[in-house]
Amino acid sequence: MSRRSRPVDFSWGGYLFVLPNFIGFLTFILLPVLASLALSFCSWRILRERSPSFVGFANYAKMLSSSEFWYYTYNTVFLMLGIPIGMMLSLSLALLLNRAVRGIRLFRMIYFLPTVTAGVALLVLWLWIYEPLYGLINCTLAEFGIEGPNWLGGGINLQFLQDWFGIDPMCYFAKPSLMLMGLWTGAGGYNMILYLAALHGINPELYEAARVDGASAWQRFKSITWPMLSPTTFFILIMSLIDGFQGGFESAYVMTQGGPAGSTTTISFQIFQELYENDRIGSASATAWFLFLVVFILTMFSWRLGGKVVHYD
Amino acid sequence: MTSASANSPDRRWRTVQQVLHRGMFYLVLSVIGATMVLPFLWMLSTSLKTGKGAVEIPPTWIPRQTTIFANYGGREVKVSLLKKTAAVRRLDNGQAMSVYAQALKTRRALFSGQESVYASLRQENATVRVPVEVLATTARVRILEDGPDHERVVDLPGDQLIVRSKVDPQWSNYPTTWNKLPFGRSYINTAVVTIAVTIGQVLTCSLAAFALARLRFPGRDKLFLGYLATMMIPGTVTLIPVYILFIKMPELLNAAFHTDLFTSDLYFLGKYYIGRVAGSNSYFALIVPGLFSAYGTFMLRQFFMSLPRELEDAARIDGCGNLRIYWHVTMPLSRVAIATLATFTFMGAWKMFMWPLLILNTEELVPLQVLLQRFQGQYGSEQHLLMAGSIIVLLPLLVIFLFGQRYFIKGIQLGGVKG
Repeated sequence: MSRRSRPVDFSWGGYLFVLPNFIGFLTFILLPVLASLALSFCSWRILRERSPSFVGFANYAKMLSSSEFWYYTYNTVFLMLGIPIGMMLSLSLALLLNRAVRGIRLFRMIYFLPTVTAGVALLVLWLWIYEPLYGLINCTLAEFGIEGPNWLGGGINLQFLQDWFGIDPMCYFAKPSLMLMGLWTGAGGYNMILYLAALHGINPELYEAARVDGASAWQRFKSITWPMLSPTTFFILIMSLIDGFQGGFESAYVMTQGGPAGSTTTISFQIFQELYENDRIGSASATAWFLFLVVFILTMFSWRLGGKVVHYD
Repeated sequence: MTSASANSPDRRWRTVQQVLHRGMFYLVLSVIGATMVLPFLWMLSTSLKTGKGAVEIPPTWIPRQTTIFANYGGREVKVSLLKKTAAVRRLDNGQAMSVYAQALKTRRALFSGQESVYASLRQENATVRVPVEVLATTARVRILEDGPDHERVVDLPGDQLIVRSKVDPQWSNYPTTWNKLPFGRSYINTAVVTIAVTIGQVLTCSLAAFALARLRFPGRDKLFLGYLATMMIPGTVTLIPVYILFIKMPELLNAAFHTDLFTSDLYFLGKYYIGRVAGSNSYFALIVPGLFSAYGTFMLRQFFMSLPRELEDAARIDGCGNLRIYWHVTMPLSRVAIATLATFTFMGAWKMFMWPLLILNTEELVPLQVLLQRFQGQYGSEQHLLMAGSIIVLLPLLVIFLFGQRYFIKGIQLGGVKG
C-alpha cells in the first residue's frame, strides 16, 4: 500500500536536479545574508586584520548618528522622486503604442533602445551630453541664446534656505540631472512593456459598453483603464522602489564620483566606498542591512496596502 | 444619394479627420522616437570627428574637415588662420573698438529674420553682451602653400578668406581607440564570462525548476518558498560576504589541499595571463556567482507548470527517466522561456560592473564595462575616442537585441519581473 501512496513522479532524484542550483543558492544568497548580519556587528579591516572583532551595535550607532549617512539616504530618496514621473511617462507611451497600426513594432524597439544599451557606455555618453561647453544640451541651448548650467558639477546658492530654514543653501544640479538621464533611459523600457501587456489584457467589451453609454476618453481612462492597470502599476511601483533604494552606484562611480559635495552619493555607492576604498567590512555590512530592512519593510507594507488599493478582477 | 455615400461631405470630412488624427499620432511617436535616438546619433557623430572637430562650436552633425584658403596675390592659397579681429562700433555708446571675432555672435530674430550682432566683452570680471555694428574684419593668416611666400604671416581683410569643408568621417578613430587599451582582450573576457554564465545559469535554473515543477520529493514546496522569499534580498547585502569569501578563498584552499596552486598565477599557452584558479583575480570569481539565480528558477518553474503533462506522461510510460524527459521533452517545449532567460542573463552578465571592480586588480581580466570606465578616466577629454569606445562596447548588445527582440518583449510579459 505504501507504494501506491507515492505518485509516479515521486523521485529522490529530484534532489539531484535541484542540487547544483541549491549549492549556489546556499553559498551566494542564504549564507551570505546571515554572514553579513553577523559581520555588521563586527569591526574588520580585511586587508590588514586576520579576523573580525565583535563590536556589538557600534557600527549601527555610528551610522545612524552620522549626518553624512542621512544625507546619502536623502540623496537616494530624492533620486527616487523620478519613479512616479517615469511611471507616468511609461504609461503614456504604452497608451500611445497600444493600437494596431503600422510601424508600432519599430517604435517599440526604438523606445526600448536606451534600456538595452544601459551601462557604462551610456553613462559615458551622458557625461558628454551634459558637458558644460561642448555638450549636446548646452550647445543646443546656446543656439537659442541660453547659457546652460554645468549640469553635473554646478549648483546654485539659495540663500533663503539658510535664512528661513537654517539648512545648507547650496543646491546642486547633479541629482536632477541624473534623474533626467534615468527618465530618458527608463521611460520606454521594462515598465512600458509591462503596461503594454496589461493593456492588451483588458477586455475590449468594457470600452464598447462605456462608449455606448457616452463616456468620454478621459472617463474611459479613469474608470476602466486605470483601475484595470492597478495590479501592474502596483507591481512596477514596488519593484522600482526596491531597485531605487539600491540604485545610483554606477552613475555615481562613472559620472560624478558621488559629488559635488557628496550630493550624488547614494546608499549603495556609500556601501561600495566603505567596502572597497575604506576597507571597513563591518560598517559596509551594517549599511547593507539597513538597506535590506528598509526594502523588507517597504515590501511588507506595500503588500498590506496593496490589498486595499489594487483592483484585481 | 444618401448621406452614407462615399462622396458626401460628412464622410469626406471624417476621412480628413482620420488622416489628420493618424498624422498627429505618427508625429508624436516620431518626436519621442527622435528624443531616444538623437543621443545615439550624437555619439556616432562625435566618434567620427577629429579631436578638434568634437569640440567645435556650434557642433555639426556630420563630421567635416574644414580647410581655409585665402585670396592672396590674385590666387587662392591654403592658409592657417592665426587670429581674426573685427573693428566694431558699439551701438549703445557709439564707441569704436577692436575685438576678436570669437567674441562676436550673430543672432537672428525669430520672426522677422533680422540679424543683429553682439559682442561679448569682459568688464570688471564679468562678461557683458553689447550690440555692435561690424565695420571691417581682419584675418591674420600663415600661408601654407609652397613658394616664395611659404610660412609668411600676413594680414588680410576678413572677406578674402574662403572656408571649404567636406564630409570627412574619421573611421581611424576606431582602430586608434581599440589600440589605446586592450579592448580585444577585454572583449574575450566579457565573451567568456557572459557565455559561461548564460549557459550555466540556464542549466542550473532549468534543472531546479524542472524538479520543483514536475517531481515530488519531501520538502519540495518549502524549498520553493525559500527561493521565492530570497528574491527580494538586495544584491548589496550578499555582496560583502561573497567578496570576503573570494578574497580568502585561495589561502583557504591552499591550506586545505596542502599546495600553493591556488595562489599561483596561470598562463594560457604559456603566455596569456588568465589569473588564478579561484578566488579574487580569476575567471572563476567572475563566472561562478552568476551561475545561480532564484529569479531564473522561479520564472522557469512557473513556465514548466503551464506546460501540458501528457507528453511527459507518454515519455514516462515509454520508459524514459527524468533526465531524459527534462532534456528531450520539457526543454524543447520551453524554447521561448529558455531563450528569454538566456537573453536576460546575457544582458545582465554583459553589464556586470560593480562585482568585477571589486574582485579584480589585474588589467588582464577586466571586462568591457570596467575597461570603458578606465578608458574614460584616462582619456576623459578626448571625446571622439570615448564615443568610439562606447560604440565598440555597445555594438554587440545592439546586435543581440535586434535578433533577440522578440524574446525580450515576450520575456518581460511572461515573467512580469524586471531584469
